[in-house]
Amino acid sequence: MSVIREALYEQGSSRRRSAPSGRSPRWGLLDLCLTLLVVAAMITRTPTGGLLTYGWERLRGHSADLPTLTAWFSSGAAAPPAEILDALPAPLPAVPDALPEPWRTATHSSLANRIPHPLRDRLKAEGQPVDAEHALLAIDELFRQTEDPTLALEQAALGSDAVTRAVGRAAAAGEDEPQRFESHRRFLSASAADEADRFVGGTVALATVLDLAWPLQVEHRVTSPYGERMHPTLKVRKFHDGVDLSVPIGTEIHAAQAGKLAVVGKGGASGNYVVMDHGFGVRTSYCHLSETPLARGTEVERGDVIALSGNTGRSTGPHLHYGVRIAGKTVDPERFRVTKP
Amino acid sequence: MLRSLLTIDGLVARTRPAWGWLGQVALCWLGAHLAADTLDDLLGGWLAGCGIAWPEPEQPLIAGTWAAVVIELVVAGWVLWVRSRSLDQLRTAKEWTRRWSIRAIVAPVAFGVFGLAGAWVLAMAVEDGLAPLWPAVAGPAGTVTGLVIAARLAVPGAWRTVVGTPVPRRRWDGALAAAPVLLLTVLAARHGLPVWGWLP
Ligand SMILES: [Zn+2]
Repeated sequence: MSVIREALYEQGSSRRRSAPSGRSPRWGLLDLCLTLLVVAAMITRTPTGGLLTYGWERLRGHSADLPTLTAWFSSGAAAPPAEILDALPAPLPAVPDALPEPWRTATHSSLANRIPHPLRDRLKAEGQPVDAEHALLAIDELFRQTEDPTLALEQAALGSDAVTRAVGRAAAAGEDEPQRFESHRRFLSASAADEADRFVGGTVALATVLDLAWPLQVEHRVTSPYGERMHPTLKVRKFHDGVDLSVPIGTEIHAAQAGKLAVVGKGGASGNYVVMDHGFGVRTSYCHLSETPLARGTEVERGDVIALSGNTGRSTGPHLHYGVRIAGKTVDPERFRVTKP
Repeated sequence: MLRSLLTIDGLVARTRPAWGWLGQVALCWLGAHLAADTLDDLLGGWLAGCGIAWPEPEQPLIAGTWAAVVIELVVAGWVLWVRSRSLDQLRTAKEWTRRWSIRAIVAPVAFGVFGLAGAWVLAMAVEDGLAPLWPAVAGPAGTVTGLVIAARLAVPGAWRTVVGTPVPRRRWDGALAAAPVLLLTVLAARHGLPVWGWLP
């Protein structure tokens, strides 16, 4: 108790330097160590620490880049490596009692790019060759134990103990469904969270986009593709971050993938629009709609009707503007078109 | 050996007024960030639904994250400012009641909650750091670190904002900062303390 009492009376007071009892102050080394520990953690783990590091480097005359302050707020979204997105993998043949598709194809593609350390160690310990094929079989085995593709990938990337600790902490903090990656990601160590974002986030995002349904199930034309174009109403060159699909007003719009309606908005250039969040940084958007009957936050399945097409906002005729984003970056939706109308 | 260690310990302890505040403030910043990390999604959802005509559908979510950054930095600045002005040494409760203001009530609550959430961040960091080397010891070592930091930095930091309460110019002092500070305090209490899972 005296430790606490002393701390309460002494710490940081510039006016009074000794405890009320008159004894000389103690525990200086303990407090100094704790302070150094806390400051070190603060510098790496908070945007404030990032700004202080930047200021310190500039004061010393070193060149430093202003940190991206939102980087400390990542939520499991990491784009798959560019080389994978540039050359999308062909689907693997189906294997019974293994990781289901499209996770298996996406996982194999990630593993061919890089095998996480705990998985390397596991393969070495079992005397197996360290290659993508054997790593994939090891993840199949983890899937048979967990029956959850995301959890199997996370255990492969971080080791089971780190995942168990994070799930326990999320449960202690009273989070809903602590075993979900999104619920316990905050409770992983900084390096584990980065690794999980890269491997789990990148792989699941890839699996999600490899399996996107097309939002229209009726005959239609692509009136304006993705990419640089002359804007139809503004008459200036502008990057078109989605595809325009010409359909009559009132055509049913289908969810490209299971997920949550993250934004149901009205007005502006997009007219009535819906943004869907499919998890792990994959979002799809649907603009110029006539009706948006579902409320923000509604969970829907792949292919469910989420809205009716229209001609609202800055639009030259009835059409659907459909966009896909991976970790904040737009991609060409037609590259991920697996279900032809 | 022990005697010289105690001498050094005493000498370091005498310099504590020069650096003791640093640990308390950094600890609060860690706790405030744990809270802000849950705020960006909340703000993004709210901005999307509040009726603003966003030119691009992605913008409310990005704006939500930036708003969380700004709120965290404002609160971080407030923590540093409040701590730098908590240097008095009140002796009785009566002295405090003569000095009460909104700041005098908000500060100890915020410092207490942020400090305890920060202590848990450190407990987790120590556990994660030791786990690959010494798995059996990692959990207890993390818990002990968290408790010691709570006792030596978090609780004393909150207490300092009580006994160090400056004379307010008006009773309303601190009202402006109270909204962002209390917002993060509530989030830190709800999402940053390992107690909710034990409650029924
Ligand atoms: Zn368009």
